[in-house]
Amino acid sequence: MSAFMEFKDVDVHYGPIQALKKVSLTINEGEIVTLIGANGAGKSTLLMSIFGQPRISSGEIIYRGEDISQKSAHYVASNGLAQSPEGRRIFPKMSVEENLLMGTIPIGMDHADEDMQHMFTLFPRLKERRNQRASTMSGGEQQMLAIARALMSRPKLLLLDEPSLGLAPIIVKQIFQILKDVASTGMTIFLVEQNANHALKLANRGYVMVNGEIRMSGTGQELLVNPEVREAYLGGH
Amino acid sequence: MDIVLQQLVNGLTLGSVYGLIAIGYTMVYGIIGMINFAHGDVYMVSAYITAIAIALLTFFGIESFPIILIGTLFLTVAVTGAYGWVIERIAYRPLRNSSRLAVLISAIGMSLILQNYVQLSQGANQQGVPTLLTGAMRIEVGDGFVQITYMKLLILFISLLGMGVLTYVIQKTKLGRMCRATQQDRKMASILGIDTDKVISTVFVIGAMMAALAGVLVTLDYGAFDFYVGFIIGIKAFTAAVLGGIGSLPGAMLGGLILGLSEALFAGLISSDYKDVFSFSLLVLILVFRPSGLLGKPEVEKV
Repeated sequence: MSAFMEFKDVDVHYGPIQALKKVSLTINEGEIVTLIGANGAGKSTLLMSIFGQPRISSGEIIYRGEDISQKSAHYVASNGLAQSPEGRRIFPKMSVEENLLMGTIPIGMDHADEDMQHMFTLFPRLKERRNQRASTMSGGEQQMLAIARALMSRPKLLLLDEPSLGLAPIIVKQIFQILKDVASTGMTIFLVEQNANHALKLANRGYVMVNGEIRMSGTGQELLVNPEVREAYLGGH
Repeated sequence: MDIVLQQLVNGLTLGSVYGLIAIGYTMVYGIIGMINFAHGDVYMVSAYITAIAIALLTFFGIESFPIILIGTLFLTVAVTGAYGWVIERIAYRPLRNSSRLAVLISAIGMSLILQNYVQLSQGANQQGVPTLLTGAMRIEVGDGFVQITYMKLLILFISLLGMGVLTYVIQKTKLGRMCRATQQDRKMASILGIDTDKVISTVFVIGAMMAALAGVLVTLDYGAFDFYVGFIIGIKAFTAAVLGGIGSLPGAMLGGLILGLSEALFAGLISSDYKDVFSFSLLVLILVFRPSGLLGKPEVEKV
C-alpha cells in the first residue's frame, strides 16, 4: 500500500481564528479511513480544503505525488476526487437524473447510461424518483443522491462528509450498508463522521479530531474500544 | 377592433425584441447576482456592427436579401458575443470576490465607456441603414384591416427561433446543465469539476448574442440609431426581466412579450406620448406587489 493522499502539517485560518492546527493524516490506496470528531472540530474544513475552499495557510496536501493545495477546485475534481459534501448540496431545481449527470463532468458522458443504471441498482429509491425534482425528496433520498452523484465520476478517492447527518437510524443503517458494498469494490474512501460507532465499524483506520487537531489515531477496532473515544463519542457505554 | 389587433401584432414584435434583450439581464443576474447595466450598450454596439456588416456585404457586391440577412446576423452575433466576453473579462471577473456594489459600479462605468467609445469612433450623429426588406401583408378585419410588414414577421420568426434554440440548449444539453448547476450552487459546481469562470463567461457571451439578434432585427426594421439607443431599450428589457422574475429564463421571454403587448396597446388606445411612463409605472407596480416577478421565486436567505 502506498500513500494515496497525505495531509502534511496543514493549517487553516478563518481570519484570526485557526480552524486546523498542524493536521497530518494519510490515506492509503484501497483503504477506508475515517475522521471522527464533534461538531465544529474542523472535519468539514479539512475536506473542503482539498478543493481550496478555504485555502490552507500552510502545509501540503499531496495527492498521488502532487501538491494540490493551491489548485483550482475543478482541477482537483478532474483528477479523480469526488465529494459528497456536508449538507448534500444537490441541485434542488434539477431532476434526479440531471443531478446524476452532473457527476459525469470530469469523465464525460461515455459511461453515463451504464453508471446511472448501476446507481439505480445501488439506490433503488433514486430509480423511482428519477424524473422528480431533487428538492422534493426526503433527506435520506437526497443523501443517497449526493453519494450517487459523487460515484458517477468513477472517483479514485471518494470523500464523504457526514452522510448520516440528520437522518433516521434506519436510513443511516441503509446508507452504511451501501457504503460497505461500495468499499468492497476496492474504492478508497475518506469518511468524515460524527456517528463514530458506524464510521469506526466500517473503517480500516480512524483519526479523532478535537478543536482542529488530530488527537488520536489507530485502526477502527482500536478506537472503537478505546475508553477515551467511548467516553467522548460513543455515549460512554 | 382593427386597431386593437394591429397593436397586438406590433406589441408582439416589440415584446419579442424586449424578450431577447431581457435574456441577457436575467441570465447574468441568475448566475452572478448582478445587474449588467452595460447590457443595453452591448445592444447599441450590435446596431453599429449591423450597419458595418451590411456595408461590408454590399461592398462585396452581395445584393440578395436573404444572404445579406444571414451574413449580417452571423457577423453581428459573433462580434457582439466577443464584446460580451471581453466586457466580463476586464470589468467583472477581477471583481468576482468583491462586494456587489463594486461590480454594479463597474457595470455603470462599462456602460459609459461603451457609449463614449462608440461616440468617439463613429461620431455623435444619427446613423442609418437602408431599408432592405419592404412590403407587407394585409388581413381584412370587419371594416378595416391589419397590416403586418414582412420585416415584423421576420423579427417575430427569428426572435422565437432564437429563444427556442436557447431554451433547448439550457434545458437539454451538457452546457445548459453546467449553466444551471453554476446558477444553483457555484461552489458545488466547481467541486464537481466545472470551471465556473468559463461558464460565467459563456453566459455573458450568450446574453450578448441574444442582444445582437435583437440589434440586427431592430436596426433592419427601424433603420436609424445612435450611440444612445441602448439606454431606453435596455431599461425596458430590464423591466421585462423584472416583470417575468429576474433570474428566470422563461420569465424574461414572457415578461418581454407582456411588456411589449401592454405598451403597444397603451400607445394605440390611450396615448403614445406616455407609453414609457406606462411601462415604468408597470415596473413600479410589480416591484410593490410582486417583487419576485411573475415566474420568479422569492429569495430565501440561506442559513
